Amino acid sequence: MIDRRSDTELVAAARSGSDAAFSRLVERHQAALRGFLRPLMGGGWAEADDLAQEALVVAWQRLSELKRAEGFRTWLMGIAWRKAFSRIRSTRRGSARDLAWLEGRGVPSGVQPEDALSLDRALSGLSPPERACVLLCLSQDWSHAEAATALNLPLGTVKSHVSRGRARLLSVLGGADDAG
Amino acid sequence: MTPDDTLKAFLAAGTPGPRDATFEFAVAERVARRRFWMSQLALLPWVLVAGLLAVFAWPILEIMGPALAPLAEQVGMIGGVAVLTLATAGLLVRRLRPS
Repeated sequence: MIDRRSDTELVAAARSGSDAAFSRLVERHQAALRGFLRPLMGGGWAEADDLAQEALVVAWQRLSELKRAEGFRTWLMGIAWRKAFSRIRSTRRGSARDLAWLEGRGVPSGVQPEDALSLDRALSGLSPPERACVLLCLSQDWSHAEAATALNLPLGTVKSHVSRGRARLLSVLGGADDAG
Repeated sequence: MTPDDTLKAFLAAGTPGPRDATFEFAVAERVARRRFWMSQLALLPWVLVAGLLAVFAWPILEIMGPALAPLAEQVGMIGGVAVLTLATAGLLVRRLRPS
């Protein structure tokens, strides 16, 4: 049976102790969360998935602190971003290590192997905030404002990160660099 | 395929399917573990209070011990059953509450 309750209703139910409601929130948001963390972390997918689980557990624990229940998705992604950023900084992960893994990940369908490799290199060359902005806005189709809220960055910074990141990624494909 | 399409396909490659029971189960398991530890931590102050009470009550119990001894078994059994019943009822209410 499909649960058509909104995030707001599910958050309210989860706050009052319903594990089923929280499970529904996990089910609804896990794909986007992991789709964001996997390329962001630049490590193994297992590490990104572990981080996604950690972010969800923290979200469960701090559900009472969420001010606007309708903003659950943004809030959750913010938790995940802070955890990911802190882990990236603490492990001082270099782009060399990123590339070693990214190159062994396999080629996404519909993308030429050489293009995938070039994009891997370009993506790992972006700073973590740039990568996060690109992933949220170009891959997850978030608005700049939503991304700014989740990442706790000024709107202008998000716009410039997305624009610059997209241009750098497209430049390795020989595409139009119309974003400046 | 335009460069934009290629970029989109590349960025979407890490996104898993809309349902992943293994992942969801792992999250539920971690939540249960976190809840367990939180409940243990919440009990800590009560354990400390009980310990302090025992320390202060010890001299009184030593004096009244012989008089209370015949009642100790019944009081202990009734108390134990009451605590167990309340704990089970609380757990069931929490688990079976409709979401």
